[in-house]
Amino acid sequence: MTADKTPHSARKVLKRTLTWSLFCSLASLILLLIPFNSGTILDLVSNCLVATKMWISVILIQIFFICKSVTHSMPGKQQSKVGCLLKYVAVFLAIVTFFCVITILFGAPLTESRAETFHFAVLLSVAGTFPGLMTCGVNLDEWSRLYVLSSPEYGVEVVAYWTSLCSIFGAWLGAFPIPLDWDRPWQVWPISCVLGTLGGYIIGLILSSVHLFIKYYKMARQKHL
Amino acid sequence: MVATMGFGIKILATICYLLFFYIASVLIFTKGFLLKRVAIDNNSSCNVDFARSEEHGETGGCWMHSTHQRAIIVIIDALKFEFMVHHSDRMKNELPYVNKLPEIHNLLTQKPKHALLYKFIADPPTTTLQRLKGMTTGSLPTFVDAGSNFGSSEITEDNFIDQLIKRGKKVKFLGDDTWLGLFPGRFSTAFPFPSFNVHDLHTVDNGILHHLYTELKKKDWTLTVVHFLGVDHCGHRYGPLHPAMGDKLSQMNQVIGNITTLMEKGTVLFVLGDHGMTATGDHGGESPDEVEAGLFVYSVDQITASGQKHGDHKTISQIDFVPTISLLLGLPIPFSNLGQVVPELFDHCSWSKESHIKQVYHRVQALRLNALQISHYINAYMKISRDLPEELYTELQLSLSLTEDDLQKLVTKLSSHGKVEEVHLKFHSLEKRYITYIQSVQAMCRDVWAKFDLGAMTLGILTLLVAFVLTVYCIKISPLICEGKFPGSAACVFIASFVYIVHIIIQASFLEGGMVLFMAFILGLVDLGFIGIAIQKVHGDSKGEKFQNLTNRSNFELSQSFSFENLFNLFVITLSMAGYFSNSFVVYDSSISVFLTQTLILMASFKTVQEHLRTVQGTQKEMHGKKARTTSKVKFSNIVQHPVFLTLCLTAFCSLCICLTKNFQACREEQVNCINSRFLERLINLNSGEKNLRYFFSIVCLGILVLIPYLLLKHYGNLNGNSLPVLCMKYTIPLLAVFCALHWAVQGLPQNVLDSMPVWQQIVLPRIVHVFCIFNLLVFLAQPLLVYILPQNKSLSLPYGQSSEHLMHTVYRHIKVNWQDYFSNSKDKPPVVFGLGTVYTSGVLYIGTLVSLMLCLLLGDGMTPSVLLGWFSVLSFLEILSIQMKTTQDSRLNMLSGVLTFHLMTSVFFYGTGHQATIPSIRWEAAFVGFHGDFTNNIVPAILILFNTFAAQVLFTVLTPLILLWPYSKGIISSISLNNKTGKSETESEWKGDFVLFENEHKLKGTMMELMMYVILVNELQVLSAMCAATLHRRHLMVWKIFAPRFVFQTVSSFITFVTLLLVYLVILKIDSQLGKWLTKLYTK
Ligand SMILES: [Zn+2]
Ligand SMILES: [Zn+2]
Repeated sequence: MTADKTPHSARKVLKRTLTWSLFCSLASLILLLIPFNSGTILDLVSNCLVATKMWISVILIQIFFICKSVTHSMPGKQQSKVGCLLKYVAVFLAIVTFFCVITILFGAPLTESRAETFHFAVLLSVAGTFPGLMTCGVNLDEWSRLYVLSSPEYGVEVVAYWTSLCSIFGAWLGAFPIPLDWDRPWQVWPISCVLGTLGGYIIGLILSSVHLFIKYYKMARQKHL
Repeated sequence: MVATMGFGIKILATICYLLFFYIASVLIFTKGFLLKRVAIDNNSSCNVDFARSEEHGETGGCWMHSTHQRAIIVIIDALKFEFMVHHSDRMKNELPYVNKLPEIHNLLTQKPKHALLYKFIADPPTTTLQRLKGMTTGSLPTFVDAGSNFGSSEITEDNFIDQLIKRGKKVKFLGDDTWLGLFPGRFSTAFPFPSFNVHDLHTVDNGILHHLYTELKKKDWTLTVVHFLGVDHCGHRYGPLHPAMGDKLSQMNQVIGNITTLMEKGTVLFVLGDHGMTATGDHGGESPDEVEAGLFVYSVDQITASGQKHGDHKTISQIDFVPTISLLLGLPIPFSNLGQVVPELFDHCSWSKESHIKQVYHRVQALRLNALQISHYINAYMKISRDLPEELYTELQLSLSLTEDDLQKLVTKLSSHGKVEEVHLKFHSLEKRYITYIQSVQAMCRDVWAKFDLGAMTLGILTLLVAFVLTVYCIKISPLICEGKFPGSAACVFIASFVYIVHIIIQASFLEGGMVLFMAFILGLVDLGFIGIAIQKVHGDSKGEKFQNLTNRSNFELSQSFSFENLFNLFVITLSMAGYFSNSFVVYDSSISVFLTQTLILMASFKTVQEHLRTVQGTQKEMHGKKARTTSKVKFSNIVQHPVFLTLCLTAFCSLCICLTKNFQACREEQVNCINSRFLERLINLNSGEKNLRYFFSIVCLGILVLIPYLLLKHYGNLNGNSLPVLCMKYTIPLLAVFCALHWAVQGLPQNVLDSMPVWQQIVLPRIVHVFCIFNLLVFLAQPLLVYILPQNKSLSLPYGQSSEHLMHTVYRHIKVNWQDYFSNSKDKPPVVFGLGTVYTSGVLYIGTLVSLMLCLLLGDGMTPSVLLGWFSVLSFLEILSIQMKTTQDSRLNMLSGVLTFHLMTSVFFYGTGHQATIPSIRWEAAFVGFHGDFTNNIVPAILILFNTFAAQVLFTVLTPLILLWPYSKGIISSISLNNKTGKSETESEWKGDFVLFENEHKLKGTMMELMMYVILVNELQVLSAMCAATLHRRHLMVWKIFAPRFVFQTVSSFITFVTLLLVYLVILKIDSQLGKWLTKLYTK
């Protein structure tokens, strides 16, 4: 991921990321809509835990493919693979704990449905921070540049930025239907939040596609000029 | 100095003016919205002067001889008149609910003198609970039955059930368990079934049917009440047009058939609906569909002489049921009844069988008793309340006494002469006169008690809207006030709004009628437009000015007010207001405010981190050339002192505090799976181990609560010297805390020990705390400067003969210089003033300590940890804000974010101190802290209960000025990060604390005004949304349970906030003026 790529290859990378993110958003949308309310094992409403597990793996695979499509080496450059992996796992676990704590602080039940809370936290950290982990690694400066100062530069970073933001916001919004007295099965904690996260994630993918498309379009024009 | 005072008072007047506006709007709205009536707990007795028992030689009755010995009341919830009446129309026959009760039709046609059907008009609100109250007491519905029973829904007004029980009769009950809440312990046999689950059509009905017939056959009852819920639930679930409704009604038809065949002589059956339903199956409002229920009366004996013409069903009011059933069973009519007997049910009995005149006389007799009972009630009511119009009242009473006289004359004539000409016509006219009387009284009361006045409600909302726009205007002009100017448009704006408010008040209190109301609306709208234009103009002006002196922060400010953070905060607050429109959001407001507060805190800390990183990035870019990465070594102290790290720690702590308040919440009825906090339990009720644990925990919390402000003030150097307030802070406040703890210990004693103690011993401790807190407050107000001049100084060498403005700067410079000297440890130097940098902050902290001590006493030992949590979260949030301000080194802080977070925290701690926005959750025991219940008036307990209920509002409003002051004063934690960032020497000399606000003549007042206006604005918005929600949902099923209490609580809470704000502002003004005087004194020394 060095900056001295030729504009041509940069455009190519951009294009590839764009296609991948579009493809992923479509795939997620279909995956979300088809089993919805069907009562099958992949239905979020009736089988929350299993479906959440499935979605965690789906998102992981998607992010892996998006990142793989662009980068050839992970940002942990010269370190040994095992050490690098351990570091990543440690950071990821920390993030999961962090999200667990945050959900409980925001009002998730402490004693009941612990498994659900944990699964939700894992999902949120996968959808909300895993893209960042893949692009920024364990470098704190990179993180702060991307998220706090919100200046995504490369294609993958755009995807990471938007999906993270939208996933977290979606999860936040997902909490609102819970107190309503509609007595729908999806109002049970944490199903609506999981739905919100997934919806946010998909919207994030779509937004990043739009963002990338604009970027691509501008770059193409620059080249012509 | 005079000019400054002038500004201070002008701002004060502005706030008072807004407060006035607020009160006016709320009162006008309340006048239209809240139905109120004073409940009288008198009971009717048999021995009244107007009723002669045992006339015509018949016994078995009280005011009048009874015609029936038993009654069965079958309530079919939401049984509409349309369901009961027979439609011969073929087209309509298709509808699922039509002609599904053929039993009724059959009885009506086959036995016209045994069965009658009425259109039974319910009073809105058409909710079951309110209707049952109306149908048993005969009174009109209200929101506030200002009687002895605030807490439960138990009926304390006189009613026919109680009258029966008083006479030793047995009442049996089957069905909806609402009845047991209304009449606990009254029924000899009861089979209650839960009414909660609207989706369940059959549990209640089948449960009833399981027992009904065997119970009816037992004959050990005088009255049996059966309340079926299936029809109502079917309506809620499917609506009346669903086939399920047909099935349900057919089932009910079968029930009616079975009961009528079971009935024996002397039994009367009433089949009635408590209300109707709309086309969608709901109810609660006052549309004809909801109001029109049906009443079917049937008796095995002949019940009427006149009967009904076929298909012609009279309309009666629902409360008419009460006197009718009372007299039929030979009971006195309940004391507060306003209903009118159904005359045709009283013209047949064994005595009056033969003659038409006797029948009419019988009817007149019933009506007369009814009218005299109502007159009795109205007399009693007039004695305790001035609700009813006096003139109309005297007129009606006069007409009644004339009627009485005429009846008397007629009866004496009859008995002496035997026969009078056209006596039967005379009786008819008397009958009409009684009916007119009863109906006029009904109309009068209904006018006063039971109508939403939509005009007044909208007028109230409009007035609040004007107040809101005025507040926005005040916010807009506050930057100008900072610069010492009062814009010209202000006078016009205030005059215009004043004209409006005067008009409104005259309108609301003296005038009535459409035309003038229309005028008020026009005036209000014009006012709104006018102030809007003024706001535009001020906005434009300040913008223009900013463009003129471009060196200012104009661009920054503009971008700040529309920053992402602000927009997001506004979004969050809008969400919280929108929640007022949803009943479930109101019910779960406690969790929702925690959620939103956490969001705002996270947002503030994110903003702080972001600002820090931005500045770091900026400096790094500057220094990029000079320094290659040398600071790769990570020191532990560096991390600890790093602003980002500190911010994150503070955020975690603050969030944790907010989250922990959940342990102190009370439950409201509607919350499912909710358990009341253990901390709400009285100490006396706990077992000894838990008792000790909680007591010591509370004491530790109280100790920390007192210690924190003490340490802070000590840190700032405000606790030097021997002035009275300092001594108070040092000694009396800890002492008071000890007294408080002792009081709790006394309260924790076993009940018999407590009862055997003399009264003075029970109340002396809290009284000491009350008195000393007030004493300390007065001491502070007399001497509000917690500063101390080092005594060994020489006199100041000040230049004489300068203007006071100049002087202040000189003194300040002196002080500043001397400070430096002091810190560089050189001895025998001119004066050193301790605590000058935190004059304002220390004042606020001092008042805050006193107030929280008093609140702890009132809230009781269980809630003390929650108050401590309140302090923790406020202080940590303020530290986050000040780190944010210090990293950006921008003198303007983001006030809006602070105010909004404080506002949400207030609501978190309202719930977190064991309260809910419902009347049953008011904690009445607060009235007995320091008193023993022997109140001569209601003012003292009312104040105590108000302080208890709105403790969070009081505490947080008192601490609100800290949003402004804290970033200036040296917060312990935020100063660490500052030290880390810049050199130490620089900070000490640069640091002026909040004294900087005094330095600039108008800055304090301007910024204070802005701050207060934001607080007022947020509160006004909240009340506005509560009002709109109440107006919108005035027909809602839950209006009296959810929306109306929410509105009342919000209104009072905002009122308390405003008043506290005003008082705090006065304190700050006092500090300000005292500071001016002190400086002059220093100068003359
Ligand atoms: Zn009902
Ligand atoms: Zn209902």
